[in-house]
Amino acid sequence: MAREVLNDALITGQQTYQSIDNSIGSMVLDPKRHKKNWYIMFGAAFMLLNFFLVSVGWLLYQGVGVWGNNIPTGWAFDIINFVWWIGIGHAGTLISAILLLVRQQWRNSINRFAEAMTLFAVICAAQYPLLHTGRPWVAAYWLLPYPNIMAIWPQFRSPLMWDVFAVSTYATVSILFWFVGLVPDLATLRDKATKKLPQTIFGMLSLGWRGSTKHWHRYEQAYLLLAGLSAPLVLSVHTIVSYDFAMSIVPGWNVTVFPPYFVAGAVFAGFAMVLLLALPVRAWYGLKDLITMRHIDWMCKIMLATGLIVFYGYILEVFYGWYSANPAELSLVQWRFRGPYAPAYWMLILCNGIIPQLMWVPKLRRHLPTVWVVALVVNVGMWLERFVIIPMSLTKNYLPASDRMYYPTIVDFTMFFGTIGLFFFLMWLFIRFLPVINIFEVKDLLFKMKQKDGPKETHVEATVGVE
Amino acid sequence: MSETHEHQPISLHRYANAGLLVGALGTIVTLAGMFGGNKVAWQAYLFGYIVWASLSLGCFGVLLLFHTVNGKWGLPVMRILEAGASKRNFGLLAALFIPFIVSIGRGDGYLYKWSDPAVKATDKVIQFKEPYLNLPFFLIRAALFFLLWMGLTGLLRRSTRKQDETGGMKETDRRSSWAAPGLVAFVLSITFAFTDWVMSLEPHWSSTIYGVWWVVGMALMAFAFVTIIATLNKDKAPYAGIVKPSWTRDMGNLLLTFTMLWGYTSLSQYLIIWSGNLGETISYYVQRSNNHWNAIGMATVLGQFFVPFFALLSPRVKAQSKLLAQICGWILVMRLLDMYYVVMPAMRDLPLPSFWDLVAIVGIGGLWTWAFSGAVKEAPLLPAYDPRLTEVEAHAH
Repeated sequence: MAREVLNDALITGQQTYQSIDNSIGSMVLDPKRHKKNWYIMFGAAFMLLNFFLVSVGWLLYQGVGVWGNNIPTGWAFDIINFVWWIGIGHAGTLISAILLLVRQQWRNSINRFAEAMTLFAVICAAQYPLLHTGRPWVAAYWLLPYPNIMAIWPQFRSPLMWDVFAVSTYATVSILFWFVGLVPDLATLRDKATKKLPQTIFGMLSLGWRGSTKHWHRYEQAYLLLAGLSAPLVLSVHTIVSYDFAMSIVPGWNVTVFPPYFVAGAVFAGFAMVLLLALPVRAWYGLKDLITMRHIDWMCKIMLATGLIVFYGYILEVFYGWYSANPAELSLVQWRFRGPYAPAYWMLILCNGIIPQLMWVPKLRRHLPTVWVVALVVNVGMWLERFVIIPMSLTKNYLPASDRMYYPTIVDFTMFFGTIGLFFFLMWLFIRFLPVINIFEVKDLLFKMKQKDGPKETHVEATVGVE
Repeated sequence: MSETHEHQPISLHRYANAGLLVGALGTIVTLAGMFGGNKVAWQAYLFGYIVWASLSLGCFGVLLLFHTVNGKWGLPVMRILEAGASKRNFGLLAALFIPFIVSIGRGDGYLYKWSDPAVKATDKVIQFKEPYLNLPFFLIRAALFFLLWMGLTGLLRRSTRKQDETGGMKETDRRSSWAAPGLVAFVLSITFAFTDWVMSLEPHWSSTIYGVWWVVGMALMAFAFVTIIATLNKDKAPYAGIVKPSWTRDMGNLLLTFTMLWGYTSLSQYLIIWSGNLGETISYYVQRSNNHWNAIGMATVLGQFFVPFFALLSPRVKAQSKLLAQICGWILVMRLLDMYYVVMPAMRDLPLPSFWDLVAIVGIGGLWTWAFSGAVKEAPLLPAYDPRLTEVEAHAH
């Protein structure tokens, strides 16, 4: 039947345990697998990274005045980009933790990739709260509650403080989850490596993994526990990010639907970013049998579903903005529709509301260039969403006398593009030096498929597992 | 299905006549009270209506979710969901909606203060909202909601019935392509329906998460409702061999998820409104903390969240039908209390239930049971077509 074939398409082609080891592992061990594309992309990312370094240097020299922030727009690119990056990370956690807990096997070949993305996105996000203090070397002193003789504590009632805890927990758990999941694969690489240096490095990183039953048992327990810990983080981190705004009374911020709407937006952007990266990587490295059309189809569907929730949020904002009969809310709706920043608002509706609707069509979900463009558009849209929510609300307040326009400066932009450079720089290093797809989980999936359907249907050759 | 002969068959429709009798009696008494000019009877009627409407709509939402994602968990209870969200039930609810129209038309302000010309004359906010909150538009919207729900549920029902005869998976695929946009329409319609029917009882107040909150609450109610039916009848045909630990675990996890979502949406709304402390939105919680209403609020925090949350975390509870059925019963009671806390303070200053509350809820519930029984009798309780049902059976050991 048709549906069985689709289910089996999680791994395609003539695969053996050996071939999976080779197709993924050789990306790390054999530099020849990395063609011109890798060097071009890595070079471009490195160049953008330098934008970041120069902007940060300038920022530290001059102070935060080099940004366009003003009063009343005290928050602008710094928090837009922070929220944007944190959101992008969410797909990784969702794929790794929640899909594991709900026993979705299609997560297996994309989880490693998405988890790495989570980590790098959190690193990019973290730059902004640190740098916006102007003195990042003392930021810890302001952000973290530590006992001191003057009994000075941060404001615990501020959601910004909750954010410090939420994001640092998120970063810690994500690193642990990612690393624990890597250990068996690092051991595989250690065993496959022929040169001394990789053998030593992977040997140290694999923590003495020998693949004994006891190891696997412990591993599975630890992994499940970490998944259980990470699952609530998917909700909590972006919920608290939404509280940064919703706890205040700025028109357009004191909105009760913000928490679920922010979480959906985060997953939306995250899946778009996974697609944006996974599509070229799978083409360049010949991973089409492991990241299959089935995966892409699922990711597109999740992108569509979360996009619909976000669009629902936009509708609610407009309707209840009017229904509240609150003059401040009403004038904000007008400001969005017809104010000087209106193009950003309408672009947002186009990018996040209209264009993702293409994903309803099964044919377009299978047409990779369309999927890639939609993913790109969604990432732009999610950035615009934060622009619409943050500076656009701050420029229009209760007192008309305090209204003032906000214009970003060149440093705002170079820093933003710089973090994109940082992200891709780390991402391409990851692709070069670590297995992008979870080797043992794909082998495990292959084994299960073989068990379930027999060798004939799934094209699995019975071979001895290489551990 | 081979075990069908060995077990006593379940008869979910055995309460049809009793339901009709009690329902007709209760509803007539309530209506008599209402049209005799008793304001409390009107309030009781609205509350009873909302409770049963949200059960039907919850069944409908879960059904749409099931057809969208095609999870195995829904197969054993699909027919119960279909019956709860049947055209009969929606038809009944549409008929029972008429008194609200009458009240608004008369402008008596028994329920909806915005419909009272005397209130409107002095209230600027209500005047502002008039383009939305007026009888013709209110009526058109309600008619559209019922048409949408009845049309969509009819479509899905026809498709599963057809598939019972023809077999194959073509209808399943066709349904999922209908159910996904259906789910979108459902969430939008619930948002606006409950804004109209319940939120506008307090015409100055609004909250954007309100629709989501109702969707989550009604889905939780429907999950508890179908799980309790299936688990209590686990030894009877056709559930024997189907309602097994692997299935109850899935349902337990879904109940846990929706319990958490309920807590999440409730807490978010509370925290954001409390923190903002703006006059027009905080009024909602001021009303609900005065005059001992806060005792009910606290009871829902404990009873609707903490108790089922900790109970459903335990794998033991989820593996035992009997324990799970008890938790489901608890959740249903809490849903009632929670809806009471959301709906009633809009109309009453004191949390005291009245005799009318009981009569109205039992009356409407009786009629609902009668309609439900009619729908449940029409089709076999298990869909015959789905090969995965035998998988569920084989899986459940």
